[in-house]
Amino acid sequence: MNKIIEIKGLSKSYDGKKDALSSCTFSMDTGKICAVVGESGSGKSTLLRLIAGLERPDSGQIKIKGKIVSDDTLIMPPQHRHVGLVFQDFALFPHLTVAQNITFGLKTNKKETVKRLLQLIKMEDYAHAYPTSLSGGQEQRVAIVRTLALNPELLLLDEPFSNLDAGLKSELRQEIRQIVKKVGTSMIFITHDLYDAIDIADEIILLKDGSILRNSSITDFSKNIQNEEVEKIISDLKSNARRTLELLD
Amino acid sequence: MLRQFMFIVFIALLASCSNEGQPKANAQEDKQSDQSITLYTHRHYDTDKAIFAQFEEETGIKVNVVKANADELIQKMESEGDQSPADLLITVDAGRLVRAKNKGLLQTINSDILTQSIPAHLRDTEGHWFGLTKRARVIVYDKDKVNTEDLSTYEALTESKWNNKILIRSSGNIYNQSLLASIIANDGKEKAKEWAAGVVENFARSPKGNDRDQVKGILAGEGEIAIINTYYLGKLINSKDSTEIKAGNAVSVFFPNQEDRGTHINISGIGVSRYAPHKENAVKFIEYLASKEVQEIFAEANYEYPVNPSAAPSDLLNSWGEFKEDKLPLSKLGELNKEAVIIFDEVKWQ
Amino acid sequence: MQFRIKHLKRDINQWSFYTMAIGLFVAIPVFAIVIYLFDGVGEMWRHIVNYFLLDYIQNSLFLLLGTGFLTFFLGISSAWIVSNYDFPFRRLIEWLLFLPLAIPSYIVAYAYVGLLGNGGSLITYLQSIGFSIQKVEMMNIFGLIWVLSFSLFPYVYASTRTVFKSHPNSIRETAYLLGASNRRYFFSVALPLASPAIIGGLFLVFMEVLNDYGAAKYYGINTFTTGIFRTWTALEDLQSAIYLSALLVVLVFLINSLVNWLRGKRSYAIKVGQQSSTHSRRKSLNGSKRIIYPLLLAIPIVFGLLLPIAQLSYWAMLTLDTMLNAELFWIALQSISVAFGAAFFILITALVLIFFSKWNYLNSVHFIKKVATIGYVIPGAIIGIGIIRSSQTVINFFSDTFHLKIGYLFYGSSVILIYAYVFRFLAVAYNPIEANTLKLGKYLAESSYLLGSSKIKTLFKIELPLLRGTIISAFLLVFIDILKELPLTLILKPYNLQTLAVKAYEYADDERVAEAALPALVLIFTITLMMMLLNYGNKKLTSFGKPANKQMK
Repeated sequence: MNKIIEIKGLSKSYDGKKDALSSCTFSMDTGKICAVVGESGSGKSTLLRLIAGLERPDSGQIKIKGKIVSDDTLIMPPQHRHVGLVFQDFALFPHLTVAQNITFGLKTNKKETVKRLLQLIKMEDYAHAYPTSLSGGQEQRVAIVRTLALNPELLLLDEPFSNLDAGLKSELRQEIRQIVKKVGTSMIFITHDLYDAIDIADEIILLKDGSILRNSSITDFSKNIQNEEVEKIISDLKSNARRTLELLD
Repeated sequence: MLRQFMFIVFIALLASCSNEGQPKANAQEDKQSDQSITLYTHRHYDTDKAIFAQFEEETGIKVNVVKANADELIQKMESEGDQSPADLLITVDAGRLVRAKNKGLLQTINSDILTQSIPAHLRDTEGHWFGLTKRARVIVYDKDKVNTEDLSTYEALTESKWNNKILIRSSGNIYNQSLLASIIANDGKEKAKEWAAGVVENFARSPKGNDRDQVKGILAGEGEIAIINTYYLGKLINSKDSTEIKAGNAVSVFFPNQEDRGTHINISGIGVSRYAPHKENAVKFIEYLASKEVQEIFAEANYEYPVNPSAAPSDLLNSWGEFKEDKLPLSKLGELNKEAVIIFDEVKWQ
Repeated sequence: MQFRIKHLKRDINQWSFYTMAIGLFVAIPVFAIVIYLFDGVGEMWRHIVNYFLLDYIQNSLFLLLGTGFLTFFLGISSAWIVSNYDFPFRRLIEWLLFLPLAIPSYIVAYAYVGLLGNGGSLITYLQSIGFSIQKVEMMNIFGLIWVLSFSLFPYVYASTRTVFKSHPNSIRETAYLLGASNRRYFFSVALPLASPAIIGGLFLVFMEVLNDYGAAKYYGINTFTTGIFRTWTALEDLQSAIYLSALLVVLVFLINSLVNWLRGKRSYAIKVGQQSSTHSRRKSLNGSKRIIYPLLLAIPIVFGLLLPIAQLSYWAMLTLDTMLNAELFWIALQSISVAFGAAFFILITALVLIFFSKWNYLNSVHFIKKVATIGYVIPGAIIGIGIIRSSQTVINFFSDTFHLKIGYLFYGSSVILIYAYVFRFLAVAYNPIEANTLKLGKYLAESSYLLGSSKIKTLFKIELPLLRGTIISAFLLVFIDILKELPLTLILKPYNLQTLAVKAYEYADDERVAEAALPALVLIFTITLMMMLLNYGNKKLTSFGKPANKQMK
């Protein structure tokens, strides 16, 4: 299987934060969904922004579909990377309609694309609405199909579920997984909530203080753990789940 | 939309500005053919406009007027060099005409009419510039409180009897600088400095305001005598403001130094620029302004004295009486201006 | 740091060059002053040091102190009252308190002499109703402080009022619940919280005071700016004028540093909760406040606005027949055209610098912003002198090397003047627009890049439309400042350009102060119009550039 993304030794420091990301290395197969999990400040957003080309690494290399997009001598600008990114606050253009937002990056086939995508998220009637009139869930859906309109190879989502209330969360999680699998796009999403990862991800990366603690498939997640911290995380997870079950029974 | 419109407006403006400023490349060719003259003038008396209009009517020569500060005009002529469209330069004091001459911006004019119309001490010896109107810097005094017998010369103003009684404007003004320059020329630097210091001792108040404000100060009882240019008195008496009229009528004119060299005068004058594209017309213009009839209007409108002896001063000026004027060559005023400024600073004349 | 050098080749792009080039080009006058210092002092320098330097320093400092106190009092008291109390005509009064800024300070100076000098109109009136008052001497440093303060206090008023309004009710109500009286709340909470804004307003006042030429000249006070003019013209010593300019710049930077230190790095941004808009924050006036507070508000309005306008109107009526003519109209047109054109250029330059700087990846390039926007704190006279001196060098260079006479470009066209305006007022547009681009955040632009748009396309399709409101209000602010400008325009305007400000000054300087009134009133009227547009624009446009009502199926 092809690797959609390969990262070697990626590091980045900011003025305010040394080693926001520290020598990260991982890769992912095409067509998979990967969850990057960690607390705030662990470097998740930095990683995503580096992949998208919105930041420049201090050292390390990023390859997308086998092509180097970032290293010490060159940086491919975001426009050329065929990567889609949905921000935490969705960043819909407030002065454009939903349809205009969706077709923003398109040069041809605008009408058909809008129709198709709005059907996909069941918002056919909202073509001429403005973002301020949409609910959070609706905005998020529009933001996602806006990036899908360009058929990106890789879709990046920054905390896509944190702004939503619980019921909507699980519904949308599944919806996104379906859409992405159907289209065949690879996806990496950030979350601080392990449950999101467990629900829909194929693989999981645990980040802490800029370094990768663990990188595995979901099924292998609790097996062969060498790291104490990871052990603790998993056992906390299990005991919380148990408590929940007990309370409900 | 608005942006595009503004852009067009601005480019248009820029274009128009540049065009006016650009040297007239064809100026040399249609020197005689287009009938016009370009006048760089510091005078901004609205009455001049009527006279220019009359000149246009009588001769068919159009008068283009560029008004600015004399220093700016001189600088402009300097930078334009031989491309300058200026035919004539008019200033309101002799010093700047001298400066223009020294910078090589004017040319010699030989005109019998001008030589005859304008007395020698009111024009440049080499014919670079000519006085057009004359004003005297005189002492005006409170009619009720001062006797003319007490007044004599500028120099006598340092006497202790004038303590706290003299009202005069700041040293920053060119008219005071010219007055002090004339005193330096006549009495020498040392005495001039003593004079200035003495006058400062006798200030009724720290110099404030302009010449007319000094006369208003006499009306208010702040002082008893003031030193002003004659035409300001004319302006006061003919003002629309009732207080100014009262002030003007509260004082009388005294011409100092009648027993020796005469009262200090200055001129508003004109010169033909060195690279004037329309020299002939320019000379015609000066001769026009120096002619008896025009002199009378030109001078009277601003309450000034004509330079042409055959022209009669206005009734108001006549009422002040005839006076002997200091025939010091006016070029001296320009030469000594900077020294005057230095002395003013040294004696702390504000 | 090591990373930066390693990545220089990768990270440097065209935007870095453009930003540096434009920024440095704009800032040439400052470099000019510094470079020409190396030519040595002029011949009159000794003379100046002996007789004037102490005066300049003392007077300038005293002016700053005096205007500081008076504007502090006027600005804060009025801001407090209109923010916290309601009374008839409050909205009108709130707006009127901005208007004194529409009257250039030198014009206020002329007006006051007309009111209170010998035979002044106000004096005459008071005498006629029985007061035995002779005159009030305005032409001294106290008069200057008075005039400048009443003309400039709106700077303190505006910034303080904005802050007072942004204080949520919850803070005030908490203070009351904890037992604080009104007065205690004011002195222990509101005032300290507002201090950065107050200092910001005072800073603007100080810069204007140091920049003033017309008022100080008319009142006969020796300040640095009048000294610079005098040294250049009367003492004919450009070189010494440059030295004086350098000294003044040093003073300005000292004040700037002092202000920054006072303001500190504290940010008093208070989180505004959802409830702040529902309760009416204003109380009504009762008790003695009913009389005292309106009186307090009346002071700045009467002395800063009504009296000067009244005097100017009186003079304008006196001189109507001579002054109301085509020439006045033409001058007004010129003034407005130049201001529009220059404001346009300033806006373009600001936008270019802001965005080019954003698009470049070298952090060091960002300091260019400080260099390019420095013009606002440098008095106009100094900029004028710096440019004159640089122009001489450039003209001589072209004349000697290429035998080209390019003098007319400098003296005959508005190019240089507009360039000088750009340098002087860039900050006025740059700062608010930059602040708003920061508020917009980077995510919108980044989304656009990820959707395939180039930086320039994003600029035009996303960023500029969203900044429309800010851009327009920046334009108006710059326009107003240019229209009022005097010292810089006096030095650099081409001979064939006349502005309302300069015309008014020339009349006053030529002892025809009554004739200055009509051009002054036209100027004030135009500015007031622009201020009304600003006000209207701020209310109408939401920050997204579209009207509030939207469609929704």
